[in-house]
Amino acid sequence: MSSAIYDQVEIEDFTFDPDTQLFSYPCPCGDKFQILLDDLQDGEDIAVCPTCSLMVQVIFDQDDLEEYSQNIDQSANEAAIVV
Amino acid sequence: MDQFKLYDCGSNGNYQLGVGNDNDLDVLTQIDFPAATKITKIASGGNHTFVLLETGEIWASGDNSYGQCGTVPNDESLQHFKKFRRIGEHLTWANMACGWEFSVLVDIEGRVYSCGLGSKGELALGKGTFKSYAKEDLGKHGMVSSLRQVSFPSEINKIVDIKASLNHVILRTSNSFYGWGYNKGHKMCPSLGKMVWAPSKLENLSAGLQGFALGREYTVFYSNREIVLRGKTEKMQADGLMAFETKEIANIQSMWSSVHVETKDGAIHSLGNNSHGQKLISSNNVKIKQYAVGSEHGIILDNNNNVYCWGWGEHGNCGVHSGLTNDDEVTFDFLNRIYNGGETVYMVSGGCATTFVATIDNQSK
Repeated sequence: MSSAIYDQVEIEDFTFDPDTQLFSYPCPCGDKFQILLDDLQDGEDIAVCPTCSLMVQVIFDQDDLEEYSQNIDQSANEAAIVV
Repeated sequence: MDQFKLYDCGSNGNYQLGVGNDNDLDVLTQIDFPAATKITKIASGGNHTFVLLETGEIWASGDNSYGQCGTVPNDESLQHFKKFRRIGEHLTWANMACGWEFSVLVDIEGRVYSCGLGSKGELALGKGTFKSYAKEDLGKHGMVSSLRQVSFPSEINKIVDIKASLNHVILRTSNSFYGWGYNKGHKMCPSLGKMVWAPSKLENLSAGLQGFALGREYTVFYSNREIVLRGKTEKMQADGLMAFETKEIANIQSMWSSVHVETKDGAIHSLGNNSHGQKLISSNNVKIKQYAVGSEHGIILDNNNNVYCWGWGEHGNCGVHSGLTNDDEVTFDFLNRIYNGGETVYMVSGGCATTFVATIDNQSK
């Protein structure tokens, strides 16, 4: 239902947390829209807010996701070194 | 004796309404707030609220996880301000603005301070400075200030106003504009980088541009002679923002994704995102005395002391839904009255799904 989409947001404006693999972006309610890297890789593009009904469409290309998956590999390696 | 009161409603998950609990409110509720004088300004961040009094005091409530309420969160009780507390008591304040997880304060001497978290330059504390306090500060006891003074490249003229949106800040002096924070899409200035870590003069803006309004991804500057748009404004332009007779413009304010122009004939014209009734369809039957906008809703005070809201009202910030035409109870595509009481309303303000109404009670003894 396109009318439920509040707005579109480019992927580079999201904050990416390599530990949780979660992208997040401010919601007008004060909470944050969220979507997992896995979901984006599966072709999903709707980030949802956990506490309200608003959703945003994430604007990205599959190519954009590479730097984030590399990011994960890197932090996994770092963790391995620490251990 | 006149008594000054403050009421609010809306999103409250981080105590940003200052009522002592974290439940959302859909009815205006009086805040237990010792405002002995008039409120000059209310500023709202993602989950925190600042109130500036005529006396130069600033009171803050809500999320302080990153020190955005002016105090280092060195103790669990300081992660949130459940009620309004006075902050920055050592200084007398003239103005302030709040962004997503940060705040910027101006004292009466014209010094600028920032506090909180900003990963894109929002604090103006130099390249790469995300936080306004050091790790060591978290080990300290008691109330420790998280305010840090902002340095300007050279001396600036008198500060006239300051505003912030999600992640950018614009400060107007008597002859120039300065900005810092996220500059994606050149929403502040084409000659600055994507992230602006220190106050930077915004080029090619004439001193005659007195008004300005910030959206999430754009800035609108205006005067009675011109409108200047920066950033992502395609939707507003498609809706005719540049077609306004500039001398007819009385005021422009911006939600996160829509612009609301008040013309001198007393009408509000809305341009931009209309996903949830943000565009005011008609204000014909309401004589507007004052209007304000929040993240995705608007508030009108009319000449008969009524307060109305419109737009996205999922958290009670537009009151209780009374529309019959729409089965979507979060969209207020009409003016919903939230106040018609006996106290004189002198200010309305909006934050992230929050609404504030300040009154003078002439009756109380």
